[in-house]
Amino acid sequence: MAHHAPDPEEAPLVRLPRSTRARLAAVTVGVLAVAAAVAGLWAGGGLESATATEHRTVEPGDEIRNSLIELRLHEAAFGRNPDTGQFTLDIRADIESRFNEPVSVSEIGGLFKPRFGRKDLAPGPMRMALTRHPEVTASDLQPGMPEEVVLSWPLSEEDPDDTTPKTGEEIFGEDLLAEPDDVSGQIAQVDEVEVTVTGAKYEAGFTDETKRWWTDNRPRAVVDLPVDEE
Amino acid sequence: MITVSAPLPPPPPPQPPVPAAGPPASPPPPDEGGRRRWPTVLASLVLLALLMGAQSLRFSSSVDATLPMVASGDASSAVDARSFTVRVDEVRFARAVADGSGDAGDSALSDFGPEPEYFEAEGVWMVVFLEVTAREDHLTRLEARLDSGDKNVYGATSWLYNTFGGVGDGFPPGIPMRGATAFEVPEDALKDPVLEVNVSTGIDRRLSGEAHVKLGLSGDELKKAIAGAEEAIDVPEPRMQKV
Repeated sequence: MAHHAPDPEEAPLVRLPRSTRARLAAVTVGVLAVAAAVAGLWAGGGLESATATEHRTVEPGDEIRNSLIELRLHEAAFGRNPDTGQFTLDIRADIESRFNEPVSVSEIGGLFKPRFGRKDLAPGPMRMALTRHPEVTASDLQPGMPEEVVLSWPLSEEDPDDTTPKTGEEIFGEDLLAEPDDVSGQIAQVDEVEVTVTGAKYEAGFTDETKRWWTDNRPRAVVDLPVDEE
Repeated sequence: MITVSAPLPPPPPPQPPVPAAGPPASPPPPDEGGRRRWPTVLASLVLLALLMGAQSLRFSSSVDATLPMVASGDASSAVDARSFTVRVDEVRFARAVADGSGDAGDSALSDFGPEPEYFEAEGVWMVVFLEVTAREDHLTRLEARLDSGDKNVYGATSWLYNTFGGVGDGFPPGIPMRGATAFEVPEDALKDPVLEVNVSTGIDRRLSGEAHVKLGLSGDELKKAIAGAEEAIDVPEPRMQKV
């Protein structure tokens, strides 16, 4: 007949001490050891890998790489849309996609965070034009085709780090068709832009579950570019 | 003695009712119980493996379950993608493309239109002329991609107004629409290109039809076609065809 029930005579892996006091001491030591380990982990910055948050300040023209693109940022200038009067930040760059399918420019735009060190000058959604066809806006970056491009952000008089969502009134109110912000005053005082390029990840969205590229919000490189006014 | 590890000892087997006509059941020998469990264990393991196999056949997400439904074919005949059919008429290569002004001689207005703007390729333009016929529903959005047959997939250009893919697309059921789609590709990128055409109602692509048309261009033939690329192609607007 086979035996299946645990044998009461079998030796347990760990034998607890018999006396209550000794048991209490063992538990106390155990708890303290765990607490010390957690505290040490907290003091050391947690379990996030150290390389993930590592970034470097690079010179204009140096190569920046993440899992989606290879990039060199060359020079920056303020411009103005001749039709709308909107002020823009324009950066000339060399860019190549590392993905094997076309990537939408809106997905690439999320990887850049230009900052002017001011609370009253913020970039809007990025657009891209190829320098070989500056008259048309590029919608995708094709695989295996390195391009010289102008990355362009419309500028508005807002706090770039203000993350409170806008109300419907603010978006669709009477400002919708109003003139773009006149940021000439701010621009006159700015002579450098700090561009942070983050890493990229290919993941499903929350509501739209098809996969696309997102920023991983971890800085990969920071470039300080002097800005000329055009 | 045969031991089988199981978490719990099995309950004693219920005594089967003794059939009236049959011979009296003799009690099993002591070893018989252990031996008889082998088939059960084996069957359980097989069933478990089958269950896990069946589980892996399920779509892991709603996205996979509602992907466009792909029909494959080649350029020799129309490919039926359930909600539409597509027939590739012609593949041409060019150094530059522009929006054509339609039948230049016919239209009195063409003289007043702006000069066409030519887009030079960094590489070569591949212009595919195709005829798309929606089957039952009015479809409004065509998305074309070109699988190079090597490693990359290219998207159709959005620089021309006349190519399929714009907001003005409309595919009334039963009426063939003839038009073109254009791809800018590096000259050495193509190996055995496949045109991927998805036509949907425009709201979303879920469960829409998609045709993958093997263009049948490869090797020396493809090289020759690219080397002999035309100077420029004026891409005409999509046109309804008489049925």
